[in-house]
Order: sequence, then C-alpha cells, then structure tokens
Amino acid sequence: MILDTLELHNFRQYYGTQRIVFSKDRHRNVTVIHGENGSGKTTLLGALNWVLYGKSGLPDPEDIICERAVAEAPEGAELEAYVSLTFTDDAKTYFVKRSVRARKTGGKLEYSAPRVELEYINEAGEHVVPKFPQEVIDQILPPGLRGYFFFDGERIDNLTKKDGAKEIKRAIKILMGLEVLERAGNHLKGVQQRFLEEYGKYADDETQRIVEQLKVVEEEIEAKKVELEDEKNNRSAIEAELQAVADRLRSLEASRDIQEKKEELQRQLKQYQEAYQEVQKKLRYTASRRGYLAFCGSLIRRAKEFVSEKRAKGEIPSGIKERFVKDLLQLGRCICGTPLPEGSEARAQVSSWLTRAGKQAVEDAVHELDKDLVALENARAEMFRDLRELCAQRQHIKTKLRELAEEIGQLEAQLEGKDVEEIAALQRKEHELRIKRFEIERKIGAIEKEIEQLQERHRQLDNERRKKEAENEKARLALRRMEACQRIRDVVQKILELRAQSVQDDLQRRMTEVYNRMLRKGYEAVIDEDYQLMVYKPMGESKVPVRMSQGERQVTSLAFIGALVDIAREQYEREHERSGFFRGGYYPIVMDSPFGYMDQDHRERTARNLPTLAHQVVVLVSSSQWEGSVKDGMQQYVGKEYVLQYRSPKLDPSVKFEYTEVQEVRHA
Amino acid sequence: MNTDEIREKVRSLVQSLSKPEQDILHRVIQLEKEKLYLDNPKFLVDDIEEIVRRAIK
Repeated sequence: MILDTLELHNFRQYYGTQRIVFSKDRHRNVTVIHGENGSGKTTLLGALNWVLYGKSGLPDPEDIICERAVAEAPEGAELEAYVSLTFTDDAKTYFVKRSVRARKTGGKLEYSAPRVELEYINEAGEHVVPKFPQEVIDQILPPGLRGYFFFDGERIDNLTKKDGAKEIKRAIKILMGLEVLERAGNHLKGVQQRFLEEYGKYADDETQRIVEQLKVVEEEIEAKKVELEDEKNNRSAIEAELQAVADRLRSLEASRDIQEKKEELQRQLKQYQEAYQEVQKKLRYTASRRGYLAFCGSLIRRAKEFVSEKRAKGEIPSGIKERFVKDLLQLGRCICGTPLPEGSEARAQVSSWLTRAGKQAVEDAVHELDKDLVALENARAEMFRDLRELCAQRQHIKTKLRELAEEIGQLEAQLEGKDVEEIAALQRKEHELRIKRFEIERKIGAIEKEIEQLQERHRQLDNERRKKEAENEKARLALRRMEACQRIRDVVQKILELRAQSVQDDLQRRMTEVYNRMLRKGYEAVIDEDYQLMVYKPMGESKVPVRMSQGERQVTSLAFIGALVDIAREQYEREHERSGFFRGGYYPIVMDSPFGYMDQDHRERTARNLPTLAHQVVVLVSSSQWEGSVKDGMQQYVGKEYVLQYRSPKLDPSVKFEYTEVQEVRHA
Repeated sequence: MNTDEIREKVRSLVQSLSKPEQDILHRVIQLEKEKLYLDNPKFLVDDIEEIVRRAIK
C-alpha cells in the first residue's frame, strides 16, 4: 500500500477542502507534516483510520462535521463531511471515500449513516466498483495491523511491554503469511470433520460406531490441547514472575552478589540436567539396540563348548584343511620335518588326518561360526564397557546435580536469612513460584501423556475404520475427500513449520541490524520462537534482561516495526513475479509525534534510519520535535512538507471559530 | 536454510499432492488471503468444503 492523496472536507477541525499529496519518491520517501499542539496532527491520523475503517479513534467520534462549517450554514441546510484517500497497492490504484451527511435543525445536527465508496483501476486499466468495499480494504490492510502503520508515537512503546507479546505475534503472523497457513490448516480440519460426519452417515452400523468414537476422541484431543496451552501460558506467567523476582534481587545491593552466584549455579544446574538427559538417552539407546547381548553369554559359551567337543570327536572339521594334509603327503615330509615315505608309520599317521579334515563347504561354515562367536563375545564385552562408562557418567552428573542443588539451597537460605525484609520476602516468593512451576510442569507432562494415548487410540480406530471401508459409493467419496483434506493439512503444516523458522531467523537478523543502528547502547534484541521481543544487556559471558527507559522502549518498538516492514518489502520485491504463498508487501509508516521521549542522539539515529526501512514514511511532528537532530537525520529523505495552519479565537480575536488549513511548504 | 532452499522444499511438498489436491491447496490459500480479516470461520469452512467437493468427485 502506497499512499497518494488524502483529502479532507469539513472533517472535524479541517475547514473546507484540504489536501495532502504524499511523497512517493523512492529516495525522498518522507512526507513531513508540521503542526503545533492542538493543530490537528492526531486528527489527520484519525482521518486515515476513519476513511479506511470507519473508526477515527478520536474523542467524541460522532462529531465529524467541522464546527465552522456548521456555524456558517443556514438553518435547515444539509452539510457533508468526507475524507477520501487515493492509494496504490499491487499495481492497482484505489480511491476510497467515506462521507457523512447531516441536516442543521434547531442549531443542532441530525446525522445520517456514514457511507463508504470504493473504486479502483486494475492492472488491465479497467475501472472496478466492488460490491463490498470494506472487504476489499480489509484485504489490503487487515484492521488488526493498522496500529502498526498508523500510530501515535507516544503509545508505541507498548510493543516492548509484556502485554505487547500477543500483538507482536499476531502482526508477524499476518505480515509474513503464517496466519494464512494456520487458518488454512484449521479450516481444512473443519471441512475434514464434515466429511467424516458425511462418511459416518452413509457407512454401515459398525463403521458408524467407529466414526462416532473417532469424533469423540478427536474432541477429547482438542480439549486436551486447549488445556495444555492454558497450562503453558500459566508456566510462562510464572516464569515472568520468577524473572521479575530475580531482576529485583539482582538490583538490591545486599543481595546482588548472592543472586548472581545463584544464577550462575542455576545455569550450571541446567547444563548438567541436559547432560543427564543425554546420558539417559544413550543408555536407553544402548539397552534397546544391544541389550540382547547381555543374555547371550551362556549361549556363546555353550556354542563354543559344543564346537570343541565335536571337533575333539572328529565329528566336525578339526580346523585341519584337507588340502594341507594332501600337500604334506605329496611333499613326503611332515610339518615337523619327519619324512613321510610310502608305507611308513608316520605317513599312515598323517594320512589318517584326511578322515578328520572336513569338506570345503563345511570347513568354511565352521570357520564362519568361530569368527561369529568371537565377534559376539567382543560386542558383548564392548556393550558392557559402554554401559559401565555411561553409568559412571550418570553417577558423576547425579553427584554434581546434588552438589549444585545443595549450594543453591544454601544461597537461598542466605537470602532468606537476610535482615532486609524485602529480600527475604522475595526469596520466599521465588520458592513458592518454583513449587507452582513444578506443579504446572507435572500437569503439562500428564496432559502430554494423555494426548499421546488419545492419539494412539485415534490411530487404532482409524485403522479399524479403514478395514471396514464402506462399499457404499457415497461413503467412499466422503472418505476420499476426507483423506485429501488430511494430506493437504499435513502439507500445510510442514510449510508452516518451514516458514515459521525462516521468519524467525530473518526477523532476528534484521532486528539485530536495525537495532544496532538505532539504539546507542549495546543491547541485544532477541525474538524467541514464540515471537516475543526481549531486550538483553551483555554481562560478562551471560546476558540479563534490561529495564528500559520510555525513550529506549520507543526506539525499540520503532526498530521492530521498521524491521518488520523492511522484511515484508523485501519479500514482496523477491516474490513479486511469482505466485508464491508469501507475498509480503509495501507498508507505509504514518507516525504522530514519535520522538517525544527520546534524547537527541536517539532522535537523530531513528530519524536517519527509519526512512531506509519503510517504503513510505509520513511524520506528523511539532517544531520542537522536528528542529535539531530529527531534521538533521531526516531532511535528506523529505520529499513533501506541509504545515497545519491552526486558527483560533484564542490566538486571533478576528477569527470566530477554531479551524485548521493545510499549506504545502515549497522550497526554492 | 536459505530462501531458495525453502522455496524448493515448499515446491516439492506441494508436488507430493495429487493434482486435484494441489488445486484445492492453492484455492484455499487464495481464499484465506482474501478473507484474512474475517473472524467468523464458518463461512470459510463452507467455502472450502465446496472447493473440496468440486475438486474431488
């Protein structure tokens, strides 16, 4: 979406027809609108929201028509106020107008319902008037996203607060195409369910019974998943509380050293817990893959005894090769040097070995058996050696875990025993929170287990259903449709997983770049797998969460929006010629007084960097915010400049009403 | 994994479906994009059901 022209007619304090043409120059992509307090900057933002969504977000939203226009109109006259916006999106040019009419009766206004009109010129140059204008607008910029592109700068710091996590997640999902995939998966599931019901209707009694059971199991799985999600949310909340307690303990002089040591030990504890799990995994693997060797000992021994016994009796080859005996006889000399002349006793002795030497195939088989028995013995010994090593490792880790737990316990006792009441109370609170977290984790484990069992039950029932596949044609068709839904859902899920990982990586990379350019301090912005935005401060080899000032929160939020908009733009430019699933798009940023809480340096950094991220930037700003560092940083990108001329009887007694006019600033 | 690798993986996933299934998938994604703002999913489930019925006969 690229904004072209905004026109206001008698809208709120804007008198007559006022027009703003936004800069669309790629290199000078900033439009600055100057206005002092009360001059109508926020009303302009409200006008954009009103024309697109019918909600201005302004105080007294029903008072739309300009006071001066109302006062000047004769009794009984019909007045109109409107806001129109021309914009382009994906090679189409749109014109949207929202208007409202009112009749002046007895000095008051009787409003009719607002009306929205939309028309556009498509890629082929055809003029189109859509039947449902609001639907078309909502497709271009979903209402849930407008707060990211048209925003009040003083309230934008929400994104870095805990309750901003949900908003961030949703914005990322919508902009990056994840929401589309998620919704597709959910809706396909609903469709699949309908075909399952249809299948049950046409199938025989026994199949119907199975289908009913399948439905019940599916509902149970869904209910368990909701329960699981709730518990996970509870765990996140507890973890946030634990983090807050840790932050506070670290910030207090009397507890800082102990707390830092405790956190270091907790980090080690976590590493050892992971190592313990790894060893357990290896033990399980060894036991499942090579465990049979433990029970082979007597079998190997008996097999060896059997072979020796038979060999001694001459019932199986002695290990003397037939060829070897024949060679000795032909040579006429034994291996010990004794001559073997014809008719001699020695020759008769050696000849007798021929009866004990086996045939070639038998010899080979016995030879292989010997080798296999040796290999089995070796493998058995190796398995025991590995098991002993793993058990020793496990024991060592267990000891370390116990020692660390004891050390942490001692530190906690020290904290609890501190004279400072707050520290003792915090430590008690942490203890309670840990118990709660343990309880929740236990519940999560139990629910996951139940889900696993239900899924197994579902698989069994589904197999039964397949076996009883109905002969009825309608049932078969429903079945095919249902199975198609399942296959498509599987593909959607895999695409979603691929895409989610790539979005997280892209966003993290871009956010780091943007953040380093915009924020002075060396903080690190991290977007975790749940798209939560966290800011850390490096401290030695570890990092700790940061308590930011309001100005820093503003910079962080703007950097985040900038990074998001930049990725969406990059995605759009890359995928423009393709009919891919994730198209991205151009999104403008319209900001009302965004620099309020920032210091000079952050103002300059933000002003210099933001225009390089968004395709189009509109800044509504007072002269006190603009002059100086913001102007220095942004001036080179300014393509259009306007001033809101505010008239008021308070400022000029010759003026009867307060109103605003827009004047373009033209540079020589 | 870079963008090209992801695109290639997505392509091969889509191609693992039969032609009618691929057609359903593309139509469903298009529909979801168009109706992203809709809070009531019932209409979408109705529309997708119709898409599946038409594609698999």
